Amino acid sequence: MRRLMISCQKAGILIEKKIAHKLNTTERMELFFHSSVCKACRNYEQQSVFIEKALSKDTNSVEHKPSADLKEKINKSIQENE
Amino acid sequence: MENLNQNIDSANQIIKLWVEEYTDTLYSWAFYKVSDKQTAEDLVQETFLAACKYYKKFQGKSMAKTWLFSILNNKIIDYYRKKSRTPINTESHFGKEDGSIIEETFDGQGYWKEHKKPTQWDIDNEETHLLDNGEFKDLLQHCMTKLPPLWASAVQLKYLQEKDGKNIGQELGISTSNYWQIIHRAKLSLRECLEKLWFNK
Repeated sequence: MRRLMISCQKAGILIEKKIAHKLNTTERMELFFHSSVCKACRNYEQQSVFIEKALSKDTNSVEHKPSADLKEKINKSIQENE
Repeated sequence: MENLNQNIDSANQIIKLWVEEYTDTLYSWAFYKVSDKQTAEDLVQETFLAACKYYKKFQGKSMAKTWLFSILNNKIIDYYRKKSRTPINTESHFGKEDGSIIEETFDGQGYWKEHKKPTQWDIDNEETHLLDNGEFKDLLQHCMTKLPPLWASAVQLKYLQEKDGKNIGQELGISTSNYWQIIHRAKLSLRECLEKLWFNK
């Protein structure tokens, strides 16, 4: 059985390609058969999609503050560049 | 000549107003993308200096904020391009530049090692909530800083630019298949980091 299947390592790469819509037909079949019997890879796919969403989210919910003197520093460098 | 100086003067006056208004927003975004205070501040400073230099090209064609953000994003992209060529960060615990994360994760046949199998995360109901959770986002950022420079660059460039694997691979000087391997390794590393520090905590 194992010999007919792609490895989890290969499946992981195909999952990344799938997320980026880069799978060809053969790869799609290979991944489909692998995932249908491999719970760990199904978990991996769910998590990878989730991480993808988290990384691509354009809004940063946390406000990070620069040093208090950053504006002053920038204004100074603008003057020096005049 | 006097006229030219006047023009520069007024441009710089306007940009100083922008500094007052947009520094915090630009910084927050830069920090979110590069996870380093000093780097983020430098990038914001460079952004305003570039704005002075290219002010003539701006001419109010778009919103000032939009324009500044596009300059900043280009600076961030340059930063990651350069970073991808720097040597490995020896302090990185999760990801390693070579294939060792693959050896750690998979057996000789490429199947998950028993203790490395991804366990189920409870995200179905919590997903939206988690994506807006500041603590979780901070942790994800922390996990990103653990990646080797090349991996972090490959991941970040993907979201900063509308490009596919082939193009990003070219930019980073790696083949397309190598690019997918790197994205896979980066995800394995991020996944493990999040699982350890959040989901199985």
